[in-house]
Formats: sequence, C-alpha cells, structure tokens
Amino acid sequence: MSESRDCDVVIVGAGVAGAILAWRLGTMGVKVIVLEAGPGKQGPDARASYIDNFKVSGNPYPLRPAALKNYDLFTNSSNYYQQEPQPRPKQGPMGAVTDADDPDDPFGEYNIISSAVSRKGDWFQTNYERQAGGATWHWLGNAIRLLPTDFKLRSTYDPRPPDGARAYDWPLSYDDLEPWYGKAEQTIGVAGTGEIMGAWRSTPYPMPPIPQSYSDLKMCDATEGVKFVDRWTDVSYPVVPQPSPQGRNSVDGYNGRPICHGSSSCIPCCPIQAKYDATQHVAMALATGNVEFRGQSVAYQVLADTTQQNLPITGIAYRRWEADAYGNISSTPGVVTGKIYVLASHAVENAKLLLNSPCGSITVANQSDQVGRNLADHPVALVYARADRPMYPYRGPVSTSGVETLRDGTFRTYRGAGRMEVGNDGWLWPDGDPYFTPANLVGQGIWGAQLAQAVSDTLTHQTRIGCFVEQLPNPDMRVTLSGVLDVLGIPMPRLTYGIDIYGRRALSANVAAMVKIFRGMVARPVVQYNYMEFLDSAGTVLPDVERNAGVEGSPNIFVREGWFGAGHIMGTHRMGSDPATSVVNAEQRAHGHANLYMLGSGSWPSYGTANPSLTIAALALRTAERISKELTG
Amino acid sequence: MNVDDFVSLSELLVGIPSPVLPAGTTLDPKLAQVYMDQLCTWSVQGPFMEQLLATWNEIKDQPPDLRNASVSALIMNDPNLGPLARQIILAWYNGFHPWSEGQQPTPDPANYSQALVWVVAYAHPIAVPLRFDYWNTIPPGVR
Repeated sequence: MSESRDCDVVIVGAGVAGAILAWRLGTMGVKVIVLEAGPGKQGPDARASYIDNFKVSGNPYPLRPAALKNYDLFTNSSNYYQQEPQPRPKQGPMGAVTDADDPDDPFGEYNIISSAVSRKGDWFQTNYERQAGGATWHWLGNAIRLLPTDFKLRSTYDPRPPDGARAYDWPLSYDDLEPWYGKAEQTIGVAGTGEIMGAWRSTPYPMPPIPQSYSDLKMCDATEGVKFVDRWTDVSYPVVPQPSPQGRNSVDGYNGRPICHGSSSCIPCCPIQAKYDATQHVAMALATGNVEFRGQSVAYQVLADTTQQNLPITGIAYRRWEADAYGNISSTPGVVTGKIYVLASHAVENAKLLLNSPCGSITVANQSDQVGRNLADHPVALVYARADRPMYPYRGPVSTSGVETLRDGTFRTYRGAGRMEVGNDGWLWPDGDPYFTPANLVGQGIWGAQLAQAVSDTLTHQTRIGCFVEQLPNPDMRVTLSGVLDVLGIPMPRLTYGIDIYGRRALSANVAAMVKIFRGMVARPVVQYNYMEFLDSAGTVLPDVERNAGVEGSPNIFVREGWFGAGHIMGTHRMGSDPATSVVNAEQRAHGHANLYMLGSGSWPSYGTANPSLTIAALALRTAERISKELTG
Repeated sequence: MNVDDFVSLSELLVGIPSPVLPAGTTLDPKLAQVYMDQLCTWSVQGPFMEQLLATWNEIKDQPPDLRNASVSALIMNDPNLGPLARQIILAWYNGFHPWSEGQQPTPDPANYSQALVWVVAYAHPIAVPLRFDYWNTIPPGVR
C-alpha cells in the first residue's frame, strides 16, 4: 500500500549532509521528512554493540538487508555491498579486468562490492555506510579545509597530462565558502590550530588542537630541516608533520560530547562519541519537532512531472523494508511528497537513484550526461618503517598529525597533490598488526622470553604514513546501473574506476616523499627510492613483488604494494555554472529541476586533498540557507 | 588434565618473566581453563593436549637451561605438540578464541583486553577508552 505525506522538504539520506540539513531546516520551522536506507535511529546500545562486534571480528557494523543482492541472503558475504563491514578486496593484479557479476569472476571470493569493481580499471576500494550517521560512523575525524587553489585548479595550474584529462574550476571560490567553513567547524566541533597552506580563516577553531602523539613528535624531530625535492619542478618542500584539525573533542562537553579518551579506534568507531558523527545531528533534528525520520526506507526513484516545462520533482518513491528473524525480507512501497527534494545519500547512491529515475527521454537531472561520471577517490599509498627509536604506537587517536606542504605547488601542472596522514596505529593498516607480529614470530619458531622481547621490539618501533592523492575528473570513471537487483528489486550500482596518470604520478611523488621522511628514522641508510621506476611509459604502475621486501638499501622501510581507497567518494554529480557540462549549480541545485538539490562530495568538480566531510558540511549549511530563503521568500 | 600445568607451561612459552612485562605478571587461571578447554575441542591438535601436559610434567622441574632445551626438543619441535604449543602462545598474546581448522582467528571479547600483545607494546586494548592526552608522552612502565 502506498503512503504519502506532504512536507516542505524531503531529504534522502541521514549522513553528515542530510542530518545537518535536516537539523538546520528544522530549527527554522521547516517541515522535513528524511528517508534513510538503514535504521533511522542509532542509540547508545547500538554503539556499544558495534564496539563489541569490533573486538570480536574487527568489523563493528551489522549486515543490513537493504544492501543485499537478491539471493543467498546471509549465507555469503559476497552478496552485500557498500556497507561496513566490508572485507577488503585483496590486492589484485594492477589494472585487473573483472566482471563482478560474472559467477566465474576470479576475484569474486573476496570482492563483496560486486558491481562496485571496475570492469576495465582498478579496484574501487572504498565504501560507505547505509545507516543514520552514514560514513561519519567510521570517518577518521580529520576536518580539513580545501585550499584556495583547490577551487581553481584549472585556472591556476591547467594540468594537461598525456591521457587528455582536464581539471575543472569550481563555480565558487574559497572566499565564498570560508564563512561556511567556520560555521561547519562550530557545528561539527573541530579542534585545531593555525592556518594551513593559504586557507585563511575569519574565525578561530572552536577548540584547541588535539595534542600530537609521542610518535608524531619523534617524527617531527627526525624531519626538522628535511626537504623533499619535487622531480617535476625541482622545488623543495619541508615535510615536518603538524597537528591535524580534527572533529573530536579537546574540550569536555563541547557540543555535548566528552573529551577524547584516546580509544585508538576512531576507525571504525569511537566508543564514547568524542569524535563527531552525524547521529548527533539526527538527534538534534528530531529535537526540533519539525523533522520526521523514516528508517529502513530505501529511495529508488525521483519522480518528475514531464508535462511541465520546468520539470518539477513531484515525489520520491521508496520501499520500506522489514527483516524477520530468519532473514526473510518484506517491503512495502511508498511515495513521499514535498516542495523541495534533496538527495544526500552520498556520491554512489545519489547517482544510482538519479540514473534509475526516468525523465522523458533521459533521466532526472541528466541533460549534461554527467550524472554518475567523474567518480573519484583520494587513492592512498602507504609507506611504513621500523624506526631506529621506539615510537610507541597503538595509542591515542588513529592520526593526530599530517604533512600539509605537498598539498599545493606548481607541480600540480604535472601531477596531483598529496596530503600525508601520519598514523598512530603502527602497522595495523598495511599489515594487520598488532595481531600479525606475534603470529609471524611464533611461526618462525620463536617462543619464551625471546618471543616477548621480539614482539615488544617490533610493535614499539612501528611507524606508518599514508598519502592521499589527487585525481583529475574522468568521465569514463562512473556509476551506472547494474543488471543485478538488490533484495528490494532495486538495481545495484556498477562502478567503473581507475587511477589516471595525474593521480599515479601523485602516488609516485608522495611515496618518494614518505620514504624521504623515513630516511632519518631507520637504523640503516636508505638509497633514494624513486617510485617512478615502477611506471611504464603509459603511466601504468607495474606490479613489483620486491617492493614488499623493503626499499632498496633499507630493509626497514616498506611500501605497501598497490593502493587503498580513502573512503572519499567524489564527483558523480558535479557542480558547475554551465548546464551542458555539470549537474548542479554552485548552490547544489540541479540544473533543469528548480526544486531538486544534491548534497555531498558528489558535487565536487575537482577533488583537492582534504578529507571531504568538513567541506560537505560547509556546503550543506550553505544550501540550507538557500533552501530556507526559497521557502520563506 | 591439570590447569596449573597448563598455566606453568603457558608462562614459559609466552616469556614470563620478561623485561617487557611488568614484574609479577602471571597468567589468569580462569582464562587458562577457557583456553585449555577450547583447544581440547580442536580436532587436529586438541587430542594432543594430554600428551603435551604429560611431557611438560616430566621436564618442568629441570634446571632452567636444561628445561628450555627440553621444551624446544620435545615440544616445540614435535610435529604433534609443536602446533598445539604455538596455538597456546597465540591465544595468550592475541586474546584469540582458539579457532577451528580453516577459520580465521578472531579475538574473543572476553579475552580481548587481557591479550599480552597490548602489554608488551606498552599500549592498551584498542577501543577501550583511557584518558585525554596520554598519547603525547612516553608510556608509563617503559624501563
């Protein structure tokens, strides 16, 4: 049975963008309905349950039926997608060609994101959560502004790599967004200090910085005076880590959250909510009395009235699901109507929803044919080392420092920028420690007092850096609809993804910079390591098994083969002033549909190197004001 | 099978005493009972638990150097007892619920916080809150 209910604004998705928008509109007296694919509310019991799950399995989040394929429910982890817990795909051959819908897919055993793997590209190794709070459940907490040049990459550096990719400027500037960054930092609750790389500030951080870790300080000592020379421009850059702005409390009680207790599990879940997550704004939105949440309600179609010239959106069709104790799924259809519609279900789901929404001869908001295109991430390369001094990792927030200096420079004419995240998590990310080391040493036949000393020596000397690099938009990297339906009968997304030459060059340069940093921290001297050696003439990274044996000249520095996803999904409904080449305008309103908005990093026309959540929040606050003015005249 | 024997063997295998463990560190007999019982159900190595503890009983009172050499020769290098001994070590270090063949090792929530790996790393169990700012200085207990 269909149901409908009028409201002012319908929002799809209760992650950081949707929850903040719902809260802001609710405080203005706007009547809002939020459709959320997962459970609409997540209370303290859920958080405690997640932490217990994490201790048992390393994965805190339960499997949600709404993300399942339509067969073999609950019997095979390969039958759900895009949801924590997500077993990481193992490193496949570079440029692996795979069809995840193919039952003979050789990678199917551990490729659980099914259609979210490239047919002709690289692994798409990133994910999101379909539940209230969204990806902020497991975000690191880095709340970093984009740089002024990130908004005008094309006009500043005009990169022209040999694959023909081109950069795009945003239709708004850093100066336009700066006041909203300040509001977002207040809203999220950001602890930080200082201006980063020209990102000027009109307001102070609301909280003092999170202290750097002991291992950060050791790395600062080792990198003092060290310069990385960029091979593309011969310009040298300092590489000293500095405190990262973070959405976690350095003050007890700010925004009602406790001060950080250093649980060391920011990813995948903060046990005490010292780290911001969007469930905070879900609760605040509900408290306004003007917001209704409809959980377990999966939007599948945006309805447009094609009889009118301005193609108004008239409703959102969704299916509300229930699961019984045996995993049997039942669902009922519904349509919710409002004056304005906002898609805030992250870059993949927003695109999937639009592509599943017919509008005359095309699909909704797709007159530019850019919906789903320009899918991007910040590909991550890891370098890790056994330092010559104890670093004492596995203590405190997962990261408290970063190297910001390589986020901008004239090299961006030739290669992408990179931001380095300095880890406090030892070799957890590249090697699965601290569990791997005891197993490895015991496997070598070591036992007794020698074992205790060896485990201690190994774990206390571990250090790790990851670089998050910039890609250029590529229309062939995209979200399309899969022929496979989920358990609700809704097409699953198929992702085609790869890393362009600009991004590969960025990986190479940043790996070299990370190795340079570690040169001052290992017991043996290191021969300069040039990651470019692993690029062929087309810019393809070649598999090199020797890399895991250590950097040449130093058995104590390791480059993790291949790359990881950052969880920063961007670019599938990009922003621009020209309706022929973009999907939304500077206010995130769809070209061609006056009452449809899309929020999130899908709107970004270029990607910079900042973790996206703060910018997503700033843009959401800006759009909230635009919508409130529209409703109130 | 005597859990006290399981404890004394375990303490030798994991390295108690050690400069990287707090003075007076001992293993919890209740947790030892859990591990021993669970390992006995393990179909491949479990049946050798009785033989393992009997072997240990024969050598545990030897002088330390001779005892360690005996453990290496008679337990760690034994094709049946060695794998079981290694499982015991990993259970204590990683807080793992001893696992069945073909399954991934997973920490047990009841054992997670008592895993030795946190102690020798001068760290703390991940996802267990401590206090603000402790991460800024050298860990307490470092000698």
